[in-house]
Amino acid sequence: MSRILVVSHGHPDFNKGGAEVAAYNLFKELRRQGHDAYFLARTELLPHGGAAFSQRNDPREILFHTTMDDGFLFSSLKTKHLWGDLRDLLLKIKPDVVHFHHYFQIGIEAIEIVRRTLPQARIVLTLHEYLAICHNNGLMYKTNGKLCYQYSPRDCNNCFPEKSPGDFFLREKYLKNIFKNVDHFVSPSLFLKNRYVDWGISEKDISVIENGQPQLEAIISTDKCAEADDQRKIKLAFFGQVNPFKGIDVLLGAISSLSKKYRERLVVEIHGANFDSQRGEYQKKIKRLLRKTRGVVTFCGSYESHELPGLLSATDWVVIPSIWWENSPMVIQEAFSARVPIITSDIGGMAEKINDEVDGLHFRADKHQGLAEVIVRVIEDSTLRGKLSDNIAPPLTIAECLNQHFEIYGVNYHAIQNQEASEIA
Amino acid sequence: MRRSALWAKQLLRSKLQKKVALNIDYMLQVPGKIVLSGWVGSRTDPATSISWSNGSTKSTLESKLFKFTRADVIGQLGFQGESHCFGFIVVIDGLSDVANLVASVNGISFPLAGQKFNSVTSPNIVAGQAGEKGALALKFIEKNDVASGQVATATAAITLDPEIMKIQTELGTLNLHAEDFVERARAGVLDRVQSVWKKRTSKPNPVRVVTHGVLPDDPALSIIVPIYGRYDFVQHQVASFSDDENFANVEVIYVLDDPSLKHEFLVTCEGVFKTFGLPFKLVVSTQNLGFAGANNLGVANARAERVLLLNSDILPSKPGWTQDLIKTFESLDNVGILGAALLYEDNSVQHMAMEFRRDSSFPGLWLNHHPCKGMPWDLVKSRGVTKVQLTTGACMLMKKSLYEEVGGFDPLYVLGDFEDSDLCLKVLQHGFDIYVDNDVVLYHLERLSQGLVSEDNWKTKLTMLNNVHQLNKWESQIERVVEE
Repeated sequence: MSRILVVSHGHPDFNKGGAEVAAYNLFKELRRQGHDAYFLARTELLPHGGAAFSQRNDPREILFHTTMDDGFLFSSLKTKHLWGDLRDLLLKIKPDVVHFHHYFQIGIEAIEIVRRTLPQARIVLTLHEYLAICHNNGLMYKTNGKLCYQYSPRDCNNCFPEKSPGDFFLREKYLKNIFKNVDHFVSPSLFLKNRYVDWGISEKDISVIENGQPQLEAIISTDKCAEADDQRKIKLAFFGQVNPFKGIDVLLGAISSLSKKYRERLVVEIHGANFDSQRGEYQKKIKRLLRKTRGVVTFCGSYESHELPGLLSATDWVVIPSIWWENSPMVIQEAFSARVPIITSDIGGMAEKINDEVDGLHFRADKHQGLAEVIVRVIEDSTLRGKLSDNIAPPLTIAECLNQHFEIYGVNYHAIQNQEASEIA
Repeated sequence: MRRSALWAKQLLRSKLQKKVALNIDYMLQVPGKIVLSGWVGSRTDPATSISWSNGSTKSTLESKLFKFTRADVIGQLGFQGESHCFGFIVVIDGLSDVANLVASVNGISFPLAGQKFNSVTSPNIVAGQAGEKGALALKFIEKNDVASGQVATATAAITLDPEIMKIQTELGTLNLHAEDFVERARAGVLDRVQSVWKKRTSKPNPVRVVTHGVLPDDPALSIIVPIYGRYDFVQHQVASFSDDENFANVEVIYVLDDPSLKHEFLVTCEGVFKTFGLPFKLVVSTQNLGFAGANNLGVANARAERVLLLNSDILPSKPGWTQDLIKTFESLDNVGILGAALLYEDNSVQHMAMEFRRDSSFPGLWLNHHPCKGMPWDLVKSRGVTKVQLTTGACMLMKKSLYEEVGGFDPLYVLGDFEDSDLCLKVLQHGFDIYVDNDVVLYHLERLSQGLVSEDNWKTKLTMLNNVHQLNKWESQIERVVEE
C-alpha cells in the first residue's frame, strides 16, 4: 500500500484557516478508510529543547517547529530545518506520495528537499491562494485598493516600491524553479487554476478539485424560513475571518443605506474571528459602521466549527461580500450543506461557486449600493429563498474529494492496493 | 529612483528654505518602540546626530541610530555632502504616542506631530530605505526590535567608512558639469583620491576559502562572481545553475567583497549548498577591494583554463548557456573577450555591446555607451556573433592566461567603474578582438535608477573621476578605436 504524507502550514488544533482544515480533513479521511497516511503540520509553538518535531494527537500527526527566514521568497535555508531535519524525517517515513497543502511558513525549499531526498516520490501541491503570484499576501489585490488581474514585475514594484522589478523577476524564477519538482497541482477553484495558468504553470498540470465536506450530522434546514411570511424578520449572516478584504464594511454600508422600512425587517449577524488583531484604522471604521447599524446588526465574534450547523439552521441568507477574489471559501460548502442560499460579490471563486439566480444572488463587488438592492429584493420577494434553496446541489463529500485525489496520487495506487489485497486473500 | 514615491516636491520646497531639515519617510510601531526612517540635512554646520525627546514630559528618550548615505537627497537638494546630510533609521524606546515625539538636530527642534510620513508594518520597508545597506539596516532593526520589558543591548550605530568620507571630501571640491572638470581632476584630486584608495586596498588581506561539495577536478570553466551588499543573489544563481547539467564541469567561485556580511553570507551559502546540492567555492576577503580587486582575487583562485567574470545579479534565461558560450569562444579566431546579450526582466536590452561616446554634459570625457539600451530585444536582436568595441564587465569570458598577462582589472578605478572598458583596451592593445555572442541571452537585473546626467552626487563625481583615470591611460587609443 502506498504511504501518503500530507503537509500543511498549520494544524487545525491551532489554526482554523481553510487550507489547514482542508488538508486535515483529507488526512482524516485517508485514515478513516484505513490508508497509510501521515500528517505534518508546521507550528509556531516552542519545541522541546530545540527539537524540530513533536507529536500531536497520535503518532501519525507530527508538528514541525519551524519558520521561514525570508517572507519574500518563502525561503528557509539558513537553518537546517529543511535540509537537515525534514530530510531525516522523510528518510524515516519514506512516503510514496507527498501532498503539500502549502509551503508558506514551512519554506518553499521543502519541495526541493523532498525531490532530492526521495527522487521517486510523487509530489502534489494544492494551491490555496495566489501566494506565488502576489507578494501582497497572495491576494492579487493591489496596495492602492484595486483588484489585480495579472502578475507583472513592473506593476508589483508599483505596489511595493522597496522591491525592484528585478527582485520580483528573481522571485518568480526562484519559485517556478522549485515548482518544477511538483508532479501535479490541485486547485479548489477553476478561477485560481486560471490565474496560475496565466502565470506560467501548464494547464494540464493543474486539476480542479473542490474541498470536500466531512459528513456532518444531517443539517435540518429550518423549513419555517422557507414558509412565506410577509412580515417575518429575515436573518442575514456573515461567517469567517474579519479583515479588510472580507468586505464587512460593504455589508454594513449596505445596511446603513437602507430605509427604516427595510431595516426593520432585517436581523444581521456577523460571526467573525480575529477582529482585535486588525489595524486600528480598520477597527475604528467597522465600529463606526456598527454604531450606525445598531439595532439591526449584531457582532457575535468567533465561533467553533461544531457550532456552525446550528448557526446556519437559523439563517436565511449567508452573505460573502469579499472585495478580493477569494479561492474557494469554506463557508460556501458549509452554507450549501445546510441548504442556505448565498448573497455574494460577483468576482473570482465566489462567482464561480455560487450561481447567480440559481443557488445565490450576485452583486457588484465592493459596491454597497448593489448589495443593498439585492437585500431589498430578498425582503420584498419572500418566495426567493425557497426557490434558490431548492436548487442547491449537495456539496462534494470528503470521500468523493479523496477519490478524485487518488487519481492524482498515481495511476498505480489502486492497482497496488488490489494486488496486496489479493496477496492477503 | 527607488525612493521617488516619497518625493513630494512641494513639501520639500519648504524644507529647502530651512537651515536644517529633517524628514521622516516611514514609521514602524512595535510594542514599546518606534522605528523611524528618514534623512537630515544641514545648510551651514555639519550634522552628525539626532536626539529624541518626549515632548509632553520633556524627557530624553533612549534611541539607537543607524546612518547611511542619501546620495539622492544630497544630489537633489544640493547639500554639501555626507558631512551635512545623512539618511537614518532610528529605534526609539519608551514612547507609545508618536505625536509627542520631538527630534532635535543642531539645537533645532522638529515635533513629529507636524511631519507627514507613511506608517508601515514591515521592517523590510524601513530597511529598504538604506539602499545598498538594506541588509545591514534590517539586522540593525531586528537587533533592537526586542520585546517590551527587555533591554536593547547592542549599540549598533554604524559610523561611515572613514576612507570613503575622505574621498567624499576631496570630491566636494569638484563641480561635475564645469568646463574645467578634467583639468581640476588632473590637478591633484585624482591623485589624492587614488592614494586613499591605494592605501585601503593594499592593507594585508588574509583570504579565507570555503568549499562546499566536491568541485570538478578539471573544470572547463571557472565562473567568478563578486558579492557586495546583496548576498541573496547567490541563492538565485545557485538555484538556477543547479538545474543545468553542464555545471558538472564548471567551477563556481563567489568572492565576498563586503566583510560586514561575512557571517550571514557563510550561513546562507551553507544552506544554499545543502538545499540545491551544486558545489561551489567561496573566497572571503577581509578587506573591501572594489569590483576590480574582487575579480582579480577570484581569478587568482580559479583552476580552469577559461574564466567567466559574472555579476551577481545575472540570471540565465535557459540551461546550456555556459556550453554555448565556450563553443562560440573556441570557434572564434583571435578572440580576447567574449560577452553575451543581457536583458532586463521585461525583455528589453541591457547590453548588446559597449562603445565609447562623448556626452555634452561631461566635456572632454569618453563615456561607455550601451547601444539599444531599453529597446525591446525582439526589435533589435541579432543572431550569431558580433565583433564589438567593448563589452561589459557584467559577463566576460576569456582565457585565464590572457587575463593574467594583461594584469587583470585595474584596481585603481575607485570602488568600481570603467575597469571593464579598461580591460577591453588592454586586450585590444595586445592584438586580440572582442566579441558578443547574441545567441547567449542572460538576464541582468540592475536596480532602477535615473541616468547619470540627472544625478549630481559624490558617486557620480567619483564615476567621472574614474573616467579621467581611463582618459589619462588611454586617450589616444580610445580615439583610434572610435575611428575604426
